[in-house]
Amino acid sequence: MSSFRFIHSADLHLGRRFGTLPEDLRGRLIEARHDSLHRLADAARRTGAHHILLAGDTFDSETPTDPVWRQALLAMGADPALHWWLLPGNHDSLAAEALWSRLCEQAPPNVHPLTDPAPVEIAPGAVLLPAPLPRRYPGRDLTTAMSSTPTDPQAFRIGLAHGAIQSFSEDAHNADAIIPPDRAATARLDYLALGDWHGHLRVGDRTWYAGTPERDAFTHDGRGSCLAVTLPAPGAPPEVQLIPTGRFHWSDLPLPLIPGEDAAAALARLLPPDRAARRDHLIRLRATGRATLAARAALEQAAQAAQADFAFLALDLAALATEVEAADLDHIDQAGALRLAAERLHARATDAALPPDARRTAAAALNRLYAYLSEART
Amino acid sequence: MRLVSIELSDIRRFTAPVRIAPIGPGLNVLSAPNESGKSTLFDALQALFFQPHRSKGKEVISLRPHVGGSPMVAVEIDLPDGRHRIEKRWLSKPAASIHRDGRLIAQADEAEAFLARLVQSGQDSGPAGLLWVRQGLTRLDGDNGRERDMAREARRSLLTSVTGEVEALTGGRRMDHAIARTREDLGHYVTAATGKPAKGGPLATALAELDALATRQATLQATTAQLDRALARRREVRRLLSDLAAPDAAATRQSRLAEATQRHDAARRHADSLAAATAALQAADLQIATLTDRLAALHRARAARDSAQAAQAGAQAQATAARAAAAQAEAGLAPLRAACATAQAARHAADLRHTAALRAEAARAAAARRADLTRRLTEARNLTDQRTALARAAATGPTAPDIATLDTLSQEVQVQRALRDRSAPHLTFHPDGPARALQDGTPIPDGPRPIHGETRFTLPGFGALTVTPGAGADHSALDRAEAALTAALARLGQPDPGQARAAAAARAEAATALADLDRALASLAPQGLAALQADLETLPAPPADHPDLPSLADAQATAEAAALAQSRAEAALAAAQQQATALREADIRAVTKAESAETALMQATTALAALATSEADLTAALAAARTARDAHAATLARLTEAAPDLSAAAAALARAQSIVEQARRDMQALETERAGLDAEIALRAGEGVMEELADTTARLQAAQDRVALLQFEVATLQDLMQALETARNEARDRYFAPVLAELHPLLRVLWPDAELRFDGESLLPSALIRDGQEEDLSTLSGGTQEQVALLVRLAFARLLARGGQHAPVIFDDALVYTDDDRIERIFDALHAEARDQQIIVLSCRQRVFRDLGGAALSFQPLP
Repeated sequence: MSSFRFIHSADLHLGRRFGTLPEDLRGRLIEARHDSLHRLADAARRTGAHHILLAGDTFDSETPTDPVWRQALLAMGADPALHWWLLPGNHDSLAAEALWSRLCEQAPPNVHPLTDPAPVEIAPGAVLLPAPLPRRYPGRDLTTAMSSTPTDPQAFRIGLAHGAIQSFSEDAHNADAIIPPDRAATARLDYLALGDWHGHLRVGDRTWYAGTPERDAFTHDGRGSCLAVTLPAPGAPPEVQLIPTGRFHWSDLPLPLIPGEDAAAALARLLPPDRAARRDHLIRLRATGRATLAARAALEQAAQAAQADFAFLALDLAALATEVEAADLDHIDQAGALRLAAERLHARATDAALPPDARRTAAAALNRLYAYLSEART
Repeated sequence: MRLVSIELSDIRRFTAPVRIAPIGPGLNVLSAPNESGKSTLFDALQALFFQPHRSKGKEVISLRPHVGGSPMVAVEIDLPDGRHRIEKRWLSKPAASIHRDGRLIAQADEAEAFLARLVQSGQDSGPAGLLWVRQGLTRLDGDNGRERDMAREARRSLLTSVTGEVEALTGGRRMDHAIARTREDLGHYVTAATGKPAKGGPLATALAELDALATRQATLQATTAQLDRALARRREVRRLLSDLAAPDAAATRQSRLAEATQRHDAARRHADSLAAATAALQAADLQIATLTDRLAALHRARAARDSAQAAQAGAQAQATAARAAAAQAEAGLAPLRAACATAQAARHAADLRHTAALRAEAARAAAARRADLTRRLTEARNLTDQRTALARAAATGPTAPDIATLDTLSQEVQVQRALRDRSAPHLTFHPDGPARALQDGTPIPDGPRPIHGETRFTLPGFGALTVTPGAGADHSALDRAEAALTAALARLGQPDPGQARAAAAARAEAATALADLDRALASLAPQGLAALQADLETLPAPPADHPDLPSLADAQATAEAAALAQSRAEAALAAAQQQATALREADIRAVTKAESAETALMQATTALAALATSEADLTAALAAARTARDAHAATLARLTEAAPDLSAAAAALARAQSIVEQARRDMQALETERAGLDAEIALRAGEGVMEELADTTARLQAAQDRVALLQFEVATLQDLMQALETARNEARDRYFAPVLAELHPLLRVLWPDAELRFDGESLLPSALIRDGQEEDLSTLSGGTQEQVALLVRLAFARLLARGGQHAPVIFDDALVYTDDDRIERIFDALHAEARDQQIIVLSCRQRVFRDLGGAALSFQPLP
């Protein structure tokens, strides 16, 4: 038996709308998800693979709109030499009868919805053992049947499943449906292609999460990718190659600050230097630690100034404590009513006897006062 | 700053330059009557300090004299660095200049800047300016916005100079900026009045979006739930269809149906046999009844025939007797008819004679009428002949109006003649002897005589005298009157008015006679002679003479007797004829009855003949029928005893059929429902409801986060606003402390326990507290308000002085409402202040302010 090569991907979530992001960005993100189909096809062609295994959640919901699933089928059918194997995941489980019946009816010959857990010989000597999700939360480990499914001993056994292998699943509802990390071994699989975890993850030599080809949240840093898997021979360890496919770069960046630090400079160091690439970059900055009023104001101004470069840039200051120094208060005023107001706000912001909300409000008010007076000074 | 002198030129009434000098360092009083220029001086000073020299505003225009010119004001002031002369001219060739100790140090815009620094307080340059109290102006604030702002800045600066830390205390402009920015940002989110989300603002928009998304989420959740239900129901439908269509279930339903059908068919066949036996028994019963009836009918026909025979005999006898009676009655009618004809002939003859008598009576009446008509016709014809002559006379001669016209014309002639006579020269002869003058040989009577034309008089013994009146007299009116009269007479054909009147009288008399004649004719022939003649001609000719005719009364009596006899004869005949008719009818009825009886007899005989021949057969058939019925009854009893339950078999069959039918209907309904569910699911699935629900849920979470952020922002801004305002208010309390300290002794001059409360925004007093009662300044009397204004100005002046920077205080008739008692105390206060302060008092109350003391000022013309 010669080697067998395929592309392993999952969690395309076609049709996701990104309602929490700005309106003008949503269309770009949605389009990028659809384009991931073309990029997967390109990856297959570049690596000489003829099969693309999608380990669930190809669609974001059980009822994608007609344009979403039909255009997806058209994109998959564009290259008849490539075979797409679609596994129902938790977002597009078999409970979506309408979806899967339509896919079965209208899929081009090279697109294969896997609605039955029966083994499929996708290529001579390569048997796919799919574990389609009958419902969103099946409540059991669907890969169990792989262990008792016989195949030709000379054929490759490739498991295709969707779900958590530990409690860090994308959805926390699957606690009862944990896939054992050693499923590849117990089921004598040459490779277990998993979906559900949006970042690529190696669970074992033969068990991988491919991750989504186009990232969709700040949960996983970086760009999306897929895996090009080569099975040299039945029983031999697979060769797995990571192939970038994502367009948008998602970054959730911590920005730890200490009093006296130049916050704006720290931010500048954190931001990607390639300014041209910032257009496809989404960044969430989570400032932590402590900063003076001046540093905090400078940080906000710097973030605001850089915001337009990026597809999305958000600065979260909730975890950044304000370090008020005497100089800050002097900046507000050395004496008089303004100084008095600032001192009172500072006192309230640091008064442990007050409720947290009152402290937060007072701190924010002090920050705002500082900002207003900085305007006046300029 | 201390004022030393003031010069005015081309300022209102001061078209010629005037000067006020010297102005002393303490109290100065310019006491002059109204219209003497005090307020002009005040306005000129204000313009000098506050109106740029290039200004053409109304304040400047108001300074220009009526005759025109360029208003000019110059003052000398002492400042710490020396004596300054400030001069400013407006409108034509505007200019501003500052000289210090005789040397020009600034002009034009630089001079304006110098003045601005002087009257406004720069943050670093310190305060200056004048403290003004206008005539009748009780407000402490300026008249316009600019003046008001400048005054406020001056006050702020004033205190800064005193305390050196007002800016620090109140925050100054930076505090204003912080509060303004806080208020501005807060205003984006909530309204200042209610604190509720501002319409169209980010918070209101976010809340509205949150509501909309929540609503949309609920809708989508409902739709999704509906989709879930449809999916579940479709699974259930599929399961039900599968159960119904299972081969075992279908075979069982068909087997049960076949078995039920077989049982039902057997029961139906037995029921058919039973029905046939029952029908046979019923037929036998019917046959027995029929035979029994036929036998009874035979017996009834026989009795009927006997009865008909008896009736026919009786009817025949009655017919014979009736015919005899009718014949006898007919015979009795002949004599009665003869008597009746005789009576009719007698009556006819009597009627003829009565008619002839009536005609003779009418002929006699017509003869009398003819004689009368003939007489009236003759008389009428005679009158007609007379009427023609009378009518002609009545139409000849003048009428009464004609005579009236003539009278009028005659009178006019006489009047004109009298006028002519009156105007004509008169000649009066006065003979002194018996001889008389003659005219045309006739002696002239005595008296004056009018001369109308040339007149020749013969004077016996003298000769002749011709008098010619000349051509001056106008006789045209008389000529016209006479011509009109002559024309009227000619038109009437009369020679003179007298004959005209006689002819008119004859015409009237003839008219009267004609009227009398017409009345007589109307009496004789109301309709005219022709009608009278026609009446005469229509009268009948005189009748022939019939001497044998009876009188009219006798003829009438005879006729009435004949009519009575005829009536009696006709009544007797009618009674006989009626009786004969009744007998004939009785005869006819008897004959008819006899004929009917004959017919009935024939029918009864015929019926009997038909029945009598089958009586034996009927008896035999009846016996056979009864035997057959017994046999049928036995068969029926046997079948009844062995009959199966047809209704139970039918019910079982119906149930089996309903099960099959129900299964078919259920399958059909389920197929229909499944098709509907397929369509619904396809529709919902194509709409992407779950996708949209996920998106909406995410947006809702984002909207909730945004609302929380906005609410936190609002709380932050409100917290900041409260902190700023609280701190500023507290600072202001401290800010006003020095003012109050200076003001307190001044207030005691008028009110022992009074205090003033200041407004934090305007830096001016807002309320007066006396005896613990707080009174808003605007509600106080005019006198009290102007006293407060004056004292506050003095207090500010004291502050300035205490800081080493003196500023003059100018009062322009500032005490117009104040009574004499308080004016005395105010004077005391002014004197007390004037020890360290330059005060200039302008007043028209010369007598009162004479007691104020101080240096007297006056306008001095400049050479």
